[in-house]
Amino acid sequence: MLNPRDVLIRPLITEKTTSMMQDNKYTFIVPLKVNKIEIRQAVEQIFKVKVLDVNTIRVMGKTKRMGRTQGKRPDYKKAIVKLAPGQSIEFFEGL
Amino acid sequence: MKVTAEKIDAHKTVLAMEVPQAEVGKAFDRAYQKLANKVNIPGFRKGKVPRKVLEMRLGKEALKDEALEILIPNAYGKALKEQAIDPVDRPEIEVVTFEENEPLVFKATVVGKPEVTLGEYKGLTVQKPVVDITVDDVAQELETLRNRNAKMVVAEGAELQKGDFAIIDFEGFVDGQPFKGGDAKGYPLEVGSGSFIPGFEDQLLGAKAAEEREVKVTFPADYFVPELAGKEALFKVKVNDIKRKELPELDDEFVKEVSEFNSLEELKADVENKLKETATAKAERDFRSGAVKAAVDNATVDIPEVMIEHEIDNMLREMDVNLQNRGLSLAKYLEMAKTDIGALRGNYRESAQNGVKVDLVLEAVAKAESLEVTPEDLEAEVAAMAAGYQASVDEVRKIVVEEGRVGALASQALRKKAAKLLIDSAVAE
Repeated sequence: MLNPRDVLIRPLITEKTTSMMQDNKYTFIVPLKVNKIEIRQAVEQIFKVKVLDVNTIRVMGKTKRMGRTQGKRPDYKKAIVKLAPGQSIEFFEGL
Repeated sequence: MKVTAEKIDAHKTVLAMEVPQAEVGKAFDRAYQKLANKVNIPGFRKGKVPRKVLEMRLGKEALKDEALEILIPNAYGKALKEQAIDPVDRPEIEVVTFEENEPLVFKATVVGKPEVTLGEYKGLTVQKPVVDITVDDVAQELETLRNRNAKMVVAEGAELQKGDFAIIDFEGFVDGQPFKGGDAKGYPLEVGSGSFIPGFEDQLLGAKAAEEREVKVTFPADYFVPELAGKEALFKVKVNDIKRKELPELDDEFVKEVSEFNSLEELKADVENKLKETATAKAERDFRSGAVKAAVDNATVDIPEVMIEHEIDNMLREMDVNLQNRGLSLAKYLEMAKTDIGALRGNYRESAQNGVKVDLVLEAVAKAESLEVTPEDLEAEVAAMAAGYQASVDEVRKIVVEEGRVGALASQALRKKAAKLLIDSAVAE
């Protein structure tokens, strides 16, 4: 099993995710290969909270071209973690 | 807001201010809004960043600085009004405590405009020179006119006198050898002008046309050619011609030639008129500046150092602009004049002090007389400026407004009004 610190790469903080925090949903970038169970365990262990639900999305990197050369941005996985009511996570820079 | 003022010397005042916490909090909110609208943070549109994220990204200090910039000018301005201080320089600000949830306490050290103690300024007696043009003045003017129109005439058989022009050939020898630059042909030398080595011209006196003479002179020790300095030299000089200035006769003929008048009488009258005009104008100018000066001298002001320094700065800047118009720079000028900026400042010091004092006194007079600047005054000021720059009034007005110089212009107009009051009330002696 992976070290829980390796499961959560960094929190994803955008306008959208900050508004989702109102619903107690926190978003992380995670490695493509981890599954929802590993994410749940990692979040519970690191932040000492109770996780109700985990949803994941694989985001495909866009293909970009510079003149003749074609490239692809890396794919990544987003994990949206719903916490038990009344619980919260304080984000700090560079998790 | 609590303000306590404490005078630490003649000009400096320390203002200690306390801004209540509520205002501090508001300032923080405004600072956040301002910053949020300015910075780009990935994941957020401009102005949509939550405060927490913003603080995380920029640090709390950035927000604090921004808030301080909102708070201090505001509080400082209010404090100045409350204490009726008119600052002449930027204040020195010292922040004592500043946290979001505490009242802000800070100190500002400010140099205020000094109090002017006006002496007598109305109805002063000022000397006005009496305009008196004598016959001699006119004659002198006519003499210069004659001199200006003098002709050089070859004087046959005359002996060389001072004031004559001698057309000479000469050849110079040092130790029996001719030297460079020591000979010329047909050189017009004004005898007595001192343009040659001392003694050279004297030894030619009394010579007639076509006479040859030998002139022995010693080069001065500080002669500009070092090889020749202090050496004895022998010049062989041949006087070709003697020319003498011939002044034209002062008659109607001459008058017709040099002026638009037909007779000597008319010219005389005109000269007298012109002399009178300039003398009257000068007397009037003297009277005006005398009236202002008398009022300024009667007043006492303790001028703070910074005001003088500012004035010197202004003068130097003006000078720099003038020099640049002539294709020079201040640095180059200093090099040429062989002085440095410190010496130049020293030179300007006195006139700067005077200028500051005059301004202060005029302002005090305007205040004492409760003079006001009307829009018409401003308009006149703009028009005068336009005439000075040869630009249209509208253009100048636009520039003045754009550069935010309306206030400066208004105070200038006010000072002019005060000066006018002084002059109008002054009595000529």
